[in-house]
Amino acid sequence: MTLEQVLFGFFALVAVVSAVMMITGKNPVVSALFLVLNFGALSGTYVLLRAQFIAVVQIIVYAGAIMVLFLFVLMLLRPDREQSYFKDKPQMKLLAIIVGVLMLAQIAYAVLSTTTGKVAEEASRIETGTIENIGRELYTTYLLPFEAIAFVLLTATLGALVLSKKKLD
Amino acid sequence: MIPLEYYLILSAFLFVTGVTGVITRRNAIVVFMSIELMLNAANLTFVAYSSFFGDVVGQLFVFFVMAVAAAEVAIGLAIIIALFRNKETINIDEINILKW
Amino acid sequence: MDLTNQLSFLATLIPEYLIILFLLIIVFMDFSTEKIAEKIPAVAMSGLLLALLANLFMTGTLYETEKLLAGGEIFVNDGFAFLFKFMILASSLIMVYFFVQDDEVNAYKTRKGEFYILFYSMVLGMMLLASANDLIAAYIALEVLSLPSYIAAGFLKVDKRSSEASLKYLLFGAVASGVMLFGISLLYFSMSSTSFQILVSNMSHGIGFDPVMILALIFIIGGFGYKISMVPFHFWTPDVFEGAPVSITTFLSVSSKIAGVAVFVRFIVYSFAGSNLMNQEIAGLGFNLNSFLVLLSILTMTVGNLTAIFQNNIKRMLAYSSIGHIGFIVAALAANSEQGLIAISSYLLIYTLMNFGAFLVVLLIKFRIGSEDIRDYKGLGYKMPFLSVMMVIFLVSLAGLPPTAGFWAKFYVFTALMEAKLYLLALFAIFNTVIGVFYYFRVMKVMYFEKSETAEPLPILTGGNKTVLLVLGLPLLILGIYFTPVVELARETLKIAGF
Repeated sequence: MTLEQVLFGFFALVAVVSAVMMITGKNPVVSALFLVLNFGALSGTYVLLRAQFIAVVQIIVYAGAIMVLFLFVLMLLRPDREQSYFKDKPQMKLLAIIVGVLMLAQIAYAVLSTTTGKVAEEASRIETGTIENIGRELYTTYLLPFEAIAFVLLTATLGALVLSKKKLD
Repeated sequence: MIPLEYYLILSAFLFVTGVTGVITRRNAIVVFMSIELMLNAANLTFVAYSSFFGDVVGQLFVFFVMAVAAAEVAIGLAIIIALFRNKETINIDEINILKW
Repeated sequence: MDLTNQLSFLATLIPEYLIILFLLIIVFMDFSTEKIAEKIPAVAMSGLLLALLANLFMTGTLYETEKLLAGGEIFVNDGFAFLFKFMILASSLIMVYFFVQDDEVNAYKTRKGEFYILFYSMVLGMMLLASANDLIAAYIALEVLSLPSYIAAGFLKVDKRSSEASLKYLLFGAVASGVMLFGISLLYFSMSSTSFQILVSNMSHGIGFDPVMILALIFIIGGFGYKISMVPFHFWTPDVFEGAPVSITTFLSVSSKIAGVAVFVRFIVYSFAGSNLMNQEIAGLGFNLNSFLVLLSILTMTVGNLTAIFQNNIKRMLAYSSIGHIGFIVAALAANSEQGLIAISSYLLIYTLMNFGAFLVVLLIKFRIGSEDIRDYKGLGYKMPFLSVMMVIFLVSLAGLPPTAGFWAKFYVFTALMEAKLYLLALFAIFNTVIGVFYYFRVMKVMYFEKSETAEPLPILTGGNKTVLLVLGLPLLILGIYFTPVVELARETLKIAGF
């Protein structure tokens, strides 16, 4: 086994376990922390995929900014431990698992039955994920969507301001 | 060398977990976190394909998705706070003035 | 695209630049004194008017810049895009009038600036959506439109119903966009591109449908279907329409749907129509994309119209009726012909007029009798004769009866369906028109044939109200007699698009 395989196995395991723990955990704060772990593991797989830039941004934006926001709001609202959906209908739990597995099987079947082209050379794979390469595409072909993102962020700022200020006006 | 399929299966697993979370959890914030998981599953597919075939567009898209997700979370949490002020709850079963 | 092409393409984006410019102006007006901030609605209106004029001017020059329309770009500005942008801008212009009239929104005086900034972002999102030619662009434009919509739905933050509507809209929207995103990622994986047009060229090279593509298509259609509230992705519509302020409901049911239809139609048409893929059997399932669309269309119109019968809240009823109308538009799309596309464009034009009219009447009545319940409309026919007559015109048109334009809009959908030999779908469409007549006439019945208990006179309409109602209502009657200009307009713009 090469180091890459070991690392992939590790990150994949962490991602899978933390995802499951996140949706089953009773305490929302614990769920949030598992989600951070999941994002960290995903960032690791991005490194294995030679996507350096995305890996770093994943940590900064997702695990950093977004999750801090989640935890902050959780602390602000302090929600109670939630009553499990399955408490009075345990048979639904089985149903949820079966449906989930079926859906997974379907996607997996679809993905595996598709033949893909030739994998790129190692050198060009590393070249693809550099900041330089992404930046060049961002500011040429995808300039317009990039500008549009600015308005998404503007609305987000305004929206948070409008909605969360306490007084009527 | 890890085959591309492994990454795709991992991504499919995360997506299905996210969907299950959305359907079964009652806390609006946890539902929202499950949605983030779904977005991340899609991101993994993009990065995997992009890296295996040296096509930068996939990674670019992931960059966009992250920006949009951050904005969406900011707005979503603001809406949840506004609702909490009105109703003192974020349990989506109790959000029922309007019938679903 | 070389540099000259790039520059001349950027020049066709002048309407968008104007919108952005005025957005910034509004931001600065909001920062300055209260006196200046009061002028924001007027400035918003003039910005939209300028953009509308610029858009019309651009349509004129389109014939010379045909080479721009060559495919493979993330945004295209073809005749189709210009027609839809025209509808979007014109409807947004009328929207400003709604906002000025909506006292619920105006109660938040110091939030006026923010409100118009959000509104302008939505307009920008819709315009981008109309010309998006790539899944990345479509996704981002969809978010530019959706995020402000979530906030706008919850703008009345002390009202429980409004916050609830906002949260439901947000959760459904976020799930739908997450699912759509996963679909896009699968499609990118199997087609190695996200451009609408490369999809078709890849597929026509004999690749055909594989299982990943089918999954991806279902997910993506789900995402778009959510935006235009196509059954079974419609659950948010009635709740959000009921909970949001009337003016926002109008916006979501008219302008936002026009943009959604634009991108959905472009996606289906550019990716599949024109090739034989539309009728190619999917993976031996005895099923093709066309029959999938037919199924969605039948479901959408039947569920929408049948549920509308049982509604007592008029906003909720109009929500279900708008789902029914989307069913007709998807039906015309399933016809997979030029005739079908012409039917879609003309249907949307008429839909805009009549839905705006109906919602304006609802809004005016709401701030006079303080209710949105149909049962409270008793005797309005005699108390407010002018308003009620206009409401009758809008409702008859929505029901699709002559002598209004609504009849012709439906008629062209039927023609397209008959030409495409989709008789079953046509049958369902007729059946649904009949149901529609039933519940639209119920409102008229309450207004004219039921006696009101109170006799006190209601506040009268202002001259401005009457003018806007006439501007919306008279075209429905005039076009009901002479519908050709609408069809010609649709045909001309689609010709430029090269369909």
